[in-house]
Amino acid sequence: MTRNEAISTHRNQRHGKVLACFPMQYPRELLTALNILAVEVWGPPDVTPTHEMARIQAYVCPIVRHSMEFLASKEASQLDGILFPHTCDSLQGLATVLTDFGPWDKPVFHFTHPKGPLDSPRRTFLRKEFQHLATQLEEWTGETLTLEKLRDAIALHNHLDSLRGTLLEPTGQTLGPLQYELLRRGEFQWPQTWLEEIQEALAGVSVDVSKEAKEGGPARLLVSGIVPEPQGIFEALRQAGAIPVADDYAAIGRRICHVENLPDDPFDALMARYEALPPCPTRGASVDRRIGWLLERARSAKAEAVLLHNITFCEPEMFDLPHIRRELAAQGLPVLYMETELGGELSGQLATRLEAFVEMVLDARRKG
Amino acid sequence: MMLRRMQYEFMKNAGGTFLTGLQRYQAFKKRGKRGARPPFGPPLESVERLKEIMTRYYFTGRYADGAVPVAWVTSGFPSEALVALGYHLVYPENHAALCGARRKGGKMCGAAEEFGYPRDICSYVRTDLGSLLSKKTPVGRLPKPDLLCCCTNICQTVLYWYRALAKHLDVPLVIIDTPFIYGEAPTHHLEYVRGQLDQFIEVAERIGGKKLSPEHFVDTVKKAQRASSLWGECLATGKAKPSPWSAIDSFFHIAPVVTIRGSDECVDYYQMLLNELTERARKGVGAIDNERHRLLWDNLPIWFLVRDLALATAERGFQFVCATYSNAWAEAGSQIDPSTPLDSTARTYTSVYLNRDLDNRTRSLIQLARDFDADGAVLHSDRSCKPYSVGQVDVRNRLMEEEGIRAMLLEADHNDERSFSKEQALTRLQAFMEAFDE
Ligand code: SF4
Ligand code: SF4
Repeated sequence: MTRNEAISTHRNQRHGKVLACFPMQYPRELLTALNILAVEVWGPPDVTPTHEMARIQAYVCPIVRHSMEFLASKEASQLDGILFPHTCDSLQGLATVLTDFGPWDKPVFHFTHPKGPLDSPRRTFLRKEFQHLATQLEEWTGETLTLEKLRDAIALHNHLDSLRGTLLEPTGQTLGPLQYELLRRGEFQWPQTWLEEIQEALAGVSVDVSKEAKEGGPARLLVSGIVPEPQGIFEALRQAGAIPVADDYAAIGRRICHVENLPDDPFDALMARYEALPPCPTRGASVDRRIGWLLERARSAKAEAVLLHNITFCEPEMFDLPHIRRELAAQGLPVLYMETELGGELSGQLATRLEAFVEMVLDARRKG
Repeated sequence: MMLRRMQYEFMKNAGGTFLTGLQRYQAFKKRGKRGARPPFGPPLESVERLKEIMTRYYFTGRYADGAVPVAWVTSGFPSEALVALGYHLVYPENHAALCGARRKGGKMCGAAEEFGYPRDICSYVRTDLGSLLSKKTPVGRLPKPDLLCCCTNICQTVLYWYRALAKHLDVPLVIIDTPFIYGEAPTHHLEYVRGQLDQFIEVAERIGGKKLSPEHFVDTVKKAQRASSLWGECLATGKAKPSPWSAIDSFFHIAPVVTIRGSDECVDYYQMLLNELTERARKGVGAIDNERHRLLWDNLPIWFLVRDLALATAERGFQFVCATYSNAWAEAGSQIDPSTPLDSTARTYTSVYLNRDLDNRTRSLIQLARDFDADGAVLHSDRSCKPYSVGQVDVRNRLMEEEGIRAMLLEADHNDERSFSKEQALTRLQAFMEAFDE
């Protein structure tokens, strides 16, 4: 199902609103409970630049620049509103340019997640922020958010996250373009439909329980970054002789938060799920926590190296780079850092760097 | 500890004054008495006092660690409680600006890049991390902090920056997270900031080994507020024609309100500056000889280029009379109400210029242009500072279309001279100025 099909199905069959949601973290459970379809905007990768994109300087990340173009385009007229989580300075800038200078004249919502460790003022704030957003969305949709509806939506997303986690488990040959395509379909798919698709896919997956690097097998990488674009990245990895076995992309693995025993109070449950999210610089997690998390992911997936794949001009990711590189290398995990734009093809130069890196990893394996 | 404290007090009270006096004497011998240097008017007398204050501030800092608690603080941090608790404060942004103005920014950015920080990170950050990693600074030495204090009201970049500092220095970090304001701030956002302030004071007391005295705190808040108000009055003298000083001067004179606000010295300094500016305005003494056009500056200064900019504009009779950057310090501080110090601090520091939506900021920029009767505007599109720069294309268009003010975007970087062509920038500026006379 394409993005446009998902939107029209939602409108015609579920008669709900469609909300464009920006990266990265927002309480999607609230949207589901209020029959709102979340359509995430990570760019999109391929847009034709006009004067709209030129309203944002070229030194700003392409997610923001492409989004400016997209939201001014005809295609965006299918959306009923926008939700901006407070992710970074550039997105915050886009939110204010778009609404204060147009062309966006439909409703805009904000979700301000706290930055820094979740201590008492931050917990209190986060809870109120969930409630504040819930009230605003209720008014907008005219729907009432009953505790039961919210509880069901939370349970659905929690289950979804558990399945997404399984899909991302190191499965040898299987974590590749197809899995990624399925995982990213959730960016616009109605959650229940998505869940069914993932269940179906998982039924056909043969899990490689050994989790070991095999003689002659591909190099096993932990991949991290913002969003796996351009999509040719996985084919380039495969051609270079590597596969991703663990994922920390902000669009994918870094958003999975499965909680074993959810609290009964739905707002406590939302808090618990938020707290279970992997560390991310955009929420102010410490560098050490992030490194610890990456190491744990790499170890449990038996990754042999790490690919840090950033989007150009994404500052939040850049700060961690030297520390991750040093500390992971000290633990025997070499790191390759590369930056890409959103669309188009992976450049020949990047493909060559990728090949050289994978060759080095495989060489190290051969030498034991 | 005792000896260190004595050294620190000596530098603060006597040694610093002696050394700055000596410095002043040496500079005087080298240069002779300062008079008007066309196309500029007579220099401000207060500059000498400014140098003295800032030299002493940095000299004293060399002896601060081990003598008094030291905090490294972002420029927008509500620092009044720290001042009242006797902390010596270091403002890495001010230090970076100083490096930039001395054209050392690029070199220090290079040191941070050698460590692995990418070149697209804000150049203030790279300058300071480069200075920390290379152990080089034009001020001799910065004291090691006991506490890092970061407030996100100017940008999120400071959050990543201070996380990196905490990692390098292994010291505790306090984050005051101020939600961005679209329109009006919801009550729970202000309560959130207030809650963090309470928590921060507890940490600062624990690390500083002292309880915050409410009287002392209120007294510090009053002084900070007074300094900000005086700063605003100093800036307002620029409305006179000719303007008695330029916005470029204000980029340097802003340093005390950033670094030593809350002290008597800061209040006294701005009173002195205000007296001088008022007198110049009364006598019709301008910062430049022949003020024909009045410009507004938006965004951070290009620290390594400010003198060239001042000369290039002054030669053609153009004068920067106001700047959103300098004005931000007058707007914020003066709103604190000493009768409700914590609540008003939370509100004031959350509503600083950079933490407000573009509509709000544009209105304040337009008001500034009107108040100072600016007929042109230069918007520095600063590749290092996204929060300040995103939206400038639309702001420029609005200035031109709705206010009839000629405006240009000048693409540069505030601290890293390596990613910048001086000739190209000055040529663009020349072309912009020529259009006024067509
Ligand atoms: S890619 Fe980075 S800079 Fe761009 S929107 Fe995402 S977090 Fe912000
Ligand atoms: S990004 Fe801008 S506001 Fe933030 S530290 Fe850098 S120059 Fe200052």
